[in-house]
Order: sequence, then structure tokens, then C-alpha cells
Amino acid sequence: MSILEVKDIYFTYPDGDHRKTILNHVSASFDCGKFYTILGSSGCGKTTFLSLISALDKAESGDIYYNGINIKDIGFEKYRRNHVGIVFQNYNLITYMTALENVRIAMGITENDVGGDISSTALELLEKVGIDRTKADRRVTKLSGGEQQRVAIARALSTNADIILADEPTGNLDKKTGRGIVDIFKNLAHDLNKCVIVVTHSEEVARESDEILRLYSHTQSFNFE
Amino acid sequence: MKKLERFFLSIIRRPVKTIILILVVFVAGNVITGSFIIYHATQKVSDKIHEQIRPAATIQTPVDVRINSLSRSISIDDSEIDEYGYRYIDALLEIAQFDEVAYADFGMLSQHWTTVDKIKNLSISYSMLDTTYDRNLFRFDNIYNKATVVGVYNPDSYYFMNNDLEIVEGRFFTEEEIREGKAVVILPQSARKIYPRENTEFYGQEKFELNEKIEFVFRIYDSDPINDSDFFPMENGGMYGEFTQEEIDMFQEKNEQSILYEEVVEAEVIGFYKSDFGKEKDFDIINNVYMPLNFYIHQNKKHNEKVAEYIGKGLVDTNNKEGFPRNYNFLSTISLFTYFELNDNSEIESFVNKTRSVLDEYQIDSNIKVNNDLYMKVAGPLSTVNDLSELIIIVAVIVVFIILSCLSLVFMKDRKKEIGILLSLGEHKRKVIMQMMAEILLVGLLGIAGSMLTAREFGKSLADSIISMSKQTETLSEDERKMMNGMTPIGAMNEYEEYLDDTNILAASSISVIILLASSGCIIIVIARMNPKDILL
Ligand SMILES: Nc1ncnc2c1ncn2[C@@H]1O[C@H](COP(=O)(O)OP(=O)(O)OP(=O)(O)O)[C@@H](O)[C@H]1O
Ligand SMILES: [Mg+2]
Repeated sequence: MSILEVKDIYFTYPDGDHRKTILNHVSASFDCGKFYTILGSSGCGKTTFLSLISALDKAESGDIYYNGINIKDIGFEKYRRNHVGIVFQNYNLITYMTALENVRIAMGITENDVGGDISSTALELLEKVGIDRTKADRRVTKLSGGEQQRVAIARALSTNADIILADEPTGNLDKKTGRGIVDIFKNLAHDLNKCVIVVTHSEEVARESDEILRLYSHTQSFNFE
Repeated sequence: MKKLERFFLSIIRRPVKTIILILVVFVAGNVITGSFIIYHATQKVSDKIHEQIRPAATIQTPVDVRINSLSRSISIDDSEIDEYGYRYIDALLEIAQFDEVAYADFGMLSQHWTTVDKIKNLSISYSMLDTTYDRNLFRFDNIYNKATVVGVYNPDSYYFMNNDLEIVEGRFFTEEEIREGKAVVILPQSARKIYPRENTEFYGQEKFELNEKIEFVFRIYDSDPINDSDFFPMENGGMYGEFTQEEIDMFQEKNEQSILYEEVVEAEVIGFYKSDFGKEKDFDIINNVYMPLNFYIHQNKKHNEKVAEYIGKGLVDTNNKEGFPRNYNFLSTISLFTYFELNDNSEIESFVNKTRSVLDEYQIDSNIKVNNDLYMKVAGPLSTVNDLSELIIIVAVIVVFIILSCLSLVFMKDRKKEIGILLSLGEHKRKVIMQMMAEILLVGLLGIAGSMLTAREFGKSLADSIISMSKQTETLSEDERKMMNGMTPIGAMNEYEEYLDDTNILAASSISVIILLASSGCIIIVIARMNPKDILL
């Protein structure tokens, strides 16, 4: 069974008097241990799709199943808390906190088992994504964009969620740094058996992935390659 | 990370915002608490002054004025005045029942009650007759040979107290005696047997003891009697000059023979009073015999009916109007004083209107005088402070609520992203709301706690600056000072400090806490409506 199944999702935005269809009966399924990328022209609905599978928003019709259970039944907050980790293009870290504190926040919220000593686990994770001890204790505003994105990834990982979602995680980074981040995602899928779904504009990033999904704005549905 | 750690991190790591919030709440707390305790303190002093002096009204009729000033030359018919007087009393009794009236007192007097019959033997000593007032003498037998009889309406008589009439022996009337018009009287202390007298033989009056009976004698003569006072020396109001004792005895005998009707009314002496008041002022006060108004009215009416009866039978000459004495007396009822204390300044208008309509109904020409000046003089500056502090509280509560709401909203907006992040991490909205509110409350409470330490001083300087603005230099006359028991506008202003109560600081601070809670309530709405997707993606 797929870890994540999207069935016949329909989603619209209000657009003046009528509503504009963004996702027109979209279906897809995602497995653990795989690195997926979603491609598509700007405005075709990639971010919208990601917001639905991360339970930040609700589809008008259609269902999303996590391990065969409808996420509505799990509860959106609980699903976010325990089963997905989200990495945003603009990192979305709490600015007055240190890297370590940002990671520990997520660990404090999840109900998953995050290991005995939260701080040392968090430091280990940060280490793994390339943030050393001194940087971990620095306010995130004093870290570079690439470093902040690593902290965001560490935070997404810290809750032991199976699914890692990322919306253009390399969009603000230079090519080299971006490649480093993509490597991390690849490893997450292959070494840690996570289901990694990354929205990107970059064909280069897409080439690194195990599966590419193309979202076409004229059909508003996926075409899997 | 524990919730508590998260909570303190956000307070400590954002010191500027924390300090701004503390300062705003501190200042707001000072304004609210300061003006609240000032409001309370000034209110208490105003209430106290109010108790001491409420707006008061008097009702005068032309009859009073006429009789008081031209006491010997009454131009309207006696019976007419008499009838008018009773209507007047009825009107006053009705007015006294108004809701607006906190306290009513009035007295009716008559100088025409027949002399106390105990005064029989006149031993006139020419040289000792002195028209200057000697307060040690019981002037039942003054130049008119009459005591002034006063019917009192209120057992707790304002008039009695306010003229410094003080009971030196016995007691004042009880409520029951007043209500039922019991036959009891209070005499001046010069009528006391034990009272030390210098001129004991003057007029030879007899003296009374407590619980003894005093007799009032009402008489109707078949011909003009010769009044006791007629034996006085001319310059003291006597009519015929000097008399020998024999002549006096003869006149008295003749008088006694011409009595058509005589009624003796007894009353019990229940007290003696003394007064310093008459010394400079009203001569009559120390010559008054006080009795319950109902007793007074009852005797008056009874006597007047008897007079009317004799006139009806043609037994007395009604055309005998040639001055004093005469063979009959209608007992006129004249108001000595009327005093209506009102509950509140705001009720003056309705009191005046209602009084006017009652007086119209009874066909009484009246002149209603309301004196609110003294209250305003003494309490005026204080009530300015009171009004202003009340206004400040209201304005402060509203302004502080708005400022704090805006501040919470601004801080919230500032933290929108943080809240979005927490929500995207799956945190319960409820918990986020609680955290945000707890932060504002903790910081706000610090500000309020600080303001509790300084509010008293703040309130004082606030009050003092209002006081100095109102620039009251009003001074009171001797009489007014007396009425206020020595309280002056300045004194009243200073007295509020005694009422700056710490429990009020606590109460006022809880107002600030409530405002803080209410204004942080908008956080609930903001967070509840928040969608992390809109903020983060
Ligand atoms: N809140 C909204 N209300 C109305 N329309 C919206 C809203 N959010 C997005 N849209 C519209 O929905 C469409 C899809 O938006 P979405 O953000 O999913 O695109 P995207 O594929 O992520 O584009 P990009 O590659 O530029 O990030 C766009 O046309 C956008 O204008
Ligand atoms: Mg997008």
C-alpha cells in the first residue's frame, strides 16, 4: 500500500464572480523510499497541491489517504503534527530563535517518539544536514539562506514523519548549495526510507528524482512520466 | 521543547516589544487606577458633604412675611389668616412626603396663645425693666406677655439643632410624641426651677421642674380684658403707666369676672434647652415653648372653633378691633420656618415643580427658595475633581482598550508567521491562542503590578493638578462654616487623601486586568481565523 494516496481531488479558488478550477480531479500515489518531484508551469497549482497533501488546506472533493486512512479521520492538525514534515521555499523559521530551538519546537509538538534526549537528537539531525554545533546555537537570522533551508529540513525530519514535503526548497539558493540540499532529499528517501515530494521548477532537480510528476495547467491534472 | 520554554523565549527574545507593552500597560494602569482611587476618594468626601449639607428649600408665604414684619397691624381678617394657615400646614405636610425630600422640618408659631396662668403676681420693679436681652431670664412675660409657642414637625429637628438649641435637661420629642401630637413641651432653661437666677423676683414667674405640668389657659371674655402687659411701664409696651398693687389686683379681679369661657390645657415639661443663638440674633428663639406640631394644631383649631361659636352666638363683639387687648383671639398659624432637605441636586427642579402644584392646589401664594449655593461652594471644586476623574476613567478605559487591542493586533501581525509556523507544525490552535494570551497577560500583569506601586502618587498629582486648575478661593461666612462643621472647600479638597484606599487600588487594577483580558481577546479571533497556508506558502 502506498503511504500517500490522492484520489480524485478537486479544488477551486474564487476568481471574481465565479470560481477558478485549479485541480481538476487529480489522483496520485506516493511510496516510501522514493524521491518525487513535481514540475509544472507557474500558476498551474503545484503549491496548491502541496498544501492539500500537507493538510494545510482542504480539497472541495476527493480524498487523501495516509497509510490507507483518510487524513480527515486522522485530523488535519494531528496529521501535520505526526506524519508530514514541510520545507518551505522561504524556510519559515522562527526568527528570534536559534537553529536548535527551531528544531526542538517541532519535536515538542509532535506526538511521535523523537528519541530520548531531544537536544542531542536535534543536534545530531542538524549535524546530518550540515549545521555544526556553533551554527546550531546561532539565531537563524544569522545563518545563510542555504543554512536556513538545512535547518528547515532538520526541523521537518525531527518529528520522524514519514512524508517530507518541500515547495521549491532550492528556489532561493545558488546552484551548488541547491545541489547539496537535493542530495539531502535524495538520501532521506533512499537511506531513511522517507517519502519525499519536492515541488520544483528545475529540470536539473527533477532529473535527480525517482519519479517526476508534471502538472499541466490546461488539464489541471497530473501526467506521470 | 516545552510550552513554558517557548513561552518565555518569546518574551525574553523580544525585549523591545515586551518593554513597550509593559510601559503601555504601566501608564494605562496608572491612569485608570489613579483616577479610580481619586474618583472614589472624592466621591466619599462629596457624599460626606452631601450628608452634611444637601440642597435645601424653604417655602415662604406672604402671610408669614406680613405677620413677621408688621406684627401689630394685620390688615386681613383673623379668621381668614387662620383658615389660610391651616391650608398652608396641610400643603407643607403633603410636600414633606415627596420622594425628593430627604428631610423635612417646619414649625408653626403663635404669639397669641394665652399666657401661662402661673404668672399671676406682677411685681413690677421699674428700674429693673430692661429691654436689652437678658438670656438668663425666662421671658414668658416679655413685653407682649406671651411666650411664643412653636409646633415642631420633626423629632430630629433641624431647626432645633441648627440654632444651637441644646437640651440641658430632659430630652427632645420622641417620634411617637410628634406623630400623635402628645401634650409635651420643651421650655427654655431659664424656666427651670434650679436654674441660678440673678433677678429672681423679676415678674415673680414661677418655675418648672422636669415632668411637671405647664398650663395653657385659653379664655374668651365678655368685654375687653386688661392684659397683664398693660400694667407695664409705657416704654416697655404697657398701656396705662404705673399702677399700685391694689389697682392691679382690682383689674385682675375684673378680668376674672368677665371670663365667658375658659379652658386649661396641660402639657408635660419633658425638657429644657439653652441657646447661644439669640444672643446676637433672634430674640424670640430663647422665648419659645416647643411642642409637637399636631398638638399645637389641635389646640389651635379647638380654640378657634370655640371662638367662632361665641361669635356665632353674638356673645362677643367682633367689631372690637381697636388694638390690644380684645375680648377674643383667633389663634393664627404662622410658619416660623420651613426647611426641606432634598436628596440630590438633580431633584431640585422636580421638587420645585411638585411643590408649586401642591401650593396652587391649596391656593397658597408662595415663594420657594432653594439654596444649593453652600453645597456648591464647599463641594464644587471637589465635584469638579470627581467629575473629571470619572471622565478620565471612562475615557481611559475606552482608550486603553483600543490601544491595547491595537497593540495586541500589531504584535499579532508581527507574529503571524510564527503562529503560522506553529500551526503548520500541527500545534493546536487552542494552545497557540493560550500561549499568545498568556504572554500578553504576563507582560501586562507586570505593568499593572508596577502601576499599583505608583498609582497612588499618580492619582494624587492628577487630582492636585485638577485642583490647581479649578482655582477655588471661595471662602465661607461664619454661618456657613458653622453649618459645615468647619469643613471648607480647601479642607474638603484635602480630605480626599484620607480616603485613598489600598483596596480601591486593587479594585481599580482588576479593571485594568479585565481590559487587558478583553483587549487580548481579539487575539482569539485573529488566530482562530488564521490559515497557515496563506501565511507560509
Ligand atoms: N488564495 C488564492 N486565491 C485565489 N487564487 C489563488 C490563491 N492562491 C493561488 N491562487 C491561484 O491558483 C493558481 C495556482 O496557484 P499555485 O500557487 O498553486 O501555483 P504554483 O503552481 O505553485 O505556481 P508557482 O510555480 O508560481 O509557485 C494560480 O493561478 C494562483 O493565481
Ligand atoms: Mg508555488
